[in-house]
Amino acid sequence: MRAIRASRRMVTALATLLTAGLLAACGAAPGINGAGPGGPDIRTIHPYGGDLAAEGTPKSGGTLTMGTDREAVSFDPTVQNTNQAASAVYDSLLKFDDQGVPKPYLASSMDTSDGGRTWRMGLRPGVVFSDGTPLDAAAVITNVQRHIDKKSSPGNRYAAQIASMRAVDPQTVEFMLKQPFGSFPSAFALSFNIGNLGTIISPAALARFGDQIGANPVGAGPFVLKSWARDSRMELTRNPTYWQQGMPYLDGLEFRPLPDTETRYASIENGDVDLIFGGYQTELLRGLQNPNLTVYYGSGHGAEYVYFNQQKAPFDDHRMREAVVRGIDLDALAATQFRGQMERAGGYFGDDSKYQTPEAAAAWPAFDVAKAKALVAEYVAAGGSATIAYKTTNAPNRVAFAEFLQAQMAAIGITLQPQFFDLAQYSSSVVQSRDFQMAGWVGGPVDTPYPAAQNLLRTGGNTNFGGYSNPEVDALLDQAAAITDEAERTKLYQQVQLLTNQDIAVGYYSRGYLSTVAKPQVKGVVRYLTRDTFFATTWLDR
Amino acid sequence: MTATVATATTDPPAPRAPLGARRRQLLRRIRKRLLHLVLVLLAVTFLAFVVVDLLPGDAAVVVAGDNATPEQVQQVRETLQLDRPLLVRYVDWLGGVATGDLGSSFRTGQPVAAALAERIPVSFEIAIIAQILALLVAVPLAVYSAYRPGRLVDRASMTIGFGAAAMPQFVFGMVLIVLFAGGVTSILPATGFTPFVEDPLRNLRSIILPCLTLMIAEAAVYRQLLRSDMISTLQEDFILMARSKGLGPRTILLRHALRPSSFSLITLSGVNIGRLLGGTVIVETLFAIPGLGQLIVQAVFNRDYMILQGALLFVAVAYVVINMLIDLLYLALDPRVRRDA
Repeated sequence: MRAIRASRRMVTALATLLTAGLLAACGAAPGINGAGPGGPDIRTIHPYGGDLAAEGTPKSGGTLTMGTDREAVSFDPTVQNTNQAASAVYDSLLKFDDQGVPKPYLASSMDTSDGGRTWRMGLRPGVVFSDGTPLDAAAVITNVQRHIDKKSSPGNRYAAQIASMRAVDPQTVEFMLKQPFGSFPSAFALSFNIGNLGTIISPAALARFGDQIGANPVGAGPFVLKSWARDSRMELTRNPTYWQQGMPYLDGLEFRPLPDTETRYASIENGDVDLIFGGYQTELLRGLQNPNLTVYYGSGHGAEYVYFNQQKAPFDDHRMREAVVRGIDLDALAATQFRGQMERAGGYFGDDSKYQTPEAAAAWPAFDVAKAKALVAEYVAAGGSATIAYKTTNAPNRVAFAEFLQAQMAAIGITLQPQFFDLAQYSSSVVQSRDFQMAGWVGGPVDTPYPAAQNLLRTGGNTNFGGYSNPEVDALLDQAAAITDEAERTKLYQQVQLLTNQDIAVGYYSRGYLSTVAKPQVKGVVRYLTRDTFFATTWLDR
Repeated sequence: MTATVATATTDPPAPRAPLGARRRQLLRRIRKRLLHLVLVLLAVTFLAFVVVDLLPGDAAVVVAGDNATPEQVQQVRETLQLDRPLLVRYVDWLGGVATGDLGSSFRTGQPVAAALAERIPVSFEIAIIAQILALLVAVPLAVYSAYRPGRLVDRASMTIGFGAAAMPQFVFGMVLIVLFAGGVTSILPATGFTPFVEDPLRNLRSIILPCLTLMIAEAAVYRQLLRSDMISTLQEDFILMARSKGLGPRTILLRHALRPSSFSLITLSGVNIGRLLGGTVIVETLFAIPGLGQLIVQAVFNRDYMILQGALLFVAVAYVVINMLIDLLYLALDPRVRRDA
């Protein structure tokens, strides 16, 4: 009897221990401790990377490990892509500065003499690919030609503007465009991950590897691809023939795709990796709260928004679009979906940007339940239906948002019926087929107005899934892309912001949250607001 | 849960068939299994082709990306030959398989055979090590629990085992990450899988946590299964006989009782290895391991039919082959199966 009782006690004790252990473990798990009211605000912080001059004299050596949110598809710039190692292997002919202006990088100049119709690109003498062949005018032409030939290339839209191109001399390429295109240099500076013309592959490698070039890149960037085990790791080593003297400082880079957000964040916290790409707001927020980590984030332009299908009822009616925007309580949204920390969006261009004006900001409808209710009632009285299908993906945060939205809409008299889809189905059967009344989207951050604003806001733009159309906006966007005068262009985009806010082109609510989170020993970070990170200047202080 | 094949017999042993006849029997058995294999493969791959095709969501849109224009999507569709009828594509794929060409990934252009060659060793290693660990834990506990049912070891191992097994795999995995790879107590890496050929030591370190996550639930089930089978075996006459001859408990348990009690365990273990070879999505995602599971799930999400078809082909082959091996193992372990064959 005593033995049995003793063993029973043992079992109870063991079970208690196990439970306690689990609870302790869960308590320590990242993500459980949310942001308190006194927590730090999400804010733009080191948006384009660190202050290189203030970080001291770079030390050479070491290998930096970066955790990314997804595996790269390919190193081929003519393929739709997500690849954060590409910029390390290739560099870019031009690069955006912190004002979003494309500046020569691998190239030495980019000029037009006739208002944006003819462009001359100067190349640095002596720049070679890692296979020893020169990065010259012929190499640039070969690469740009690939985007012209391949209609499905994400760079095709820019390349298609080219009427002809020629090598003036080995260090100069001349592009003759079909029409003036002042934003043409941007095509050579855009992120690899949305498609660009600035990624140049060794023509010798192109000839050698053919359609397997995507796994065998040869570029003129600071690093060379050494090995790639898909879904595991990608190793890069220093390019000894790199064009920038003394760089790169690191001996090597390692990329690990860590698709699970919890694992990714745990990896930076426990030191498995030196740097992560944060694809979600939770990582950004936790990074800001952790004094042992450095966060790089800029909200930029673009946003999280809902598409209104403006080609059919009810959102062909301005009143209903306005009602939805006025019906969303952004404070409640921030509290329930963003742990109290949300960078609000009230227009396509960021509030801090030169494209935002007080007039445009005022044009965006503010939260007002009474007014929203009245608008819905008016619409219903005129014979309209306030029962609306809302389509979105089945990711947990999207589902939570849909439920939130449903409750908010109920308060203003709209019956919202959420429908969830897996990503592939959502892309093809919902947004691409324009088969929705209202649909969710994350379209930010974005580095520069061109081409993203054109994609979303221009009639027929390739992400204008809601079919928004305003000829005046189209003309402004076309003009902004065509001209070369930056001040004039700014005014045009300010107009775009005002008009699209008045029209309620889409329903913005929050900015996007792509961030870089690093250990403080990582110095010399240079990044775009989107995915691209440039590693030539990066060094490890250890 | 109790095994039916494991009832002990006190019949006199049957006369052994002559060697030639036994070999013929064996070959016939293998031949039958191979035919079975081909039929299973045809059924599985065709079904996969049809189902994947019926899935809403267009592979061309995924490949072309959200920023693509409808014309670009159409061009991708033509390049990938997705505009051809389903049956034509299937027969074409089958022809490719027959000549050893599994095609290439729609998205990355990587040859399917190369993708599989990268993933299979990883999944194989983890599946086997997790199984071995599960058996190493389960068998001694089960044997001892059957010997002393209801006592401390039995009750404690059952409570802990089922407690851990009842926890969802990802929760258990996260608990392990926090305990062993979290900030202060970081003694093992949570991510950063290293292939065995590259660095065996780092490889082992990187698979400890995933293997532990996988093995715990299986060990609990194995223990329970073997324990109950052993308990019924221990009530058989031949055990009584052995006891009356004065044999010690160790000899009785390990030499007399374990073998006839292990059939259900072996069957289940075979099924589990087959399943694990197909990859373990949750564990692979959690610990960032480049196994088959991630490959398959990504292929489904991206509608990457070629990768999916190739991977399913492998999983089906592995499943059938492993169960064939288990079947042959019965022959070795149990004379009655040999005789009945």
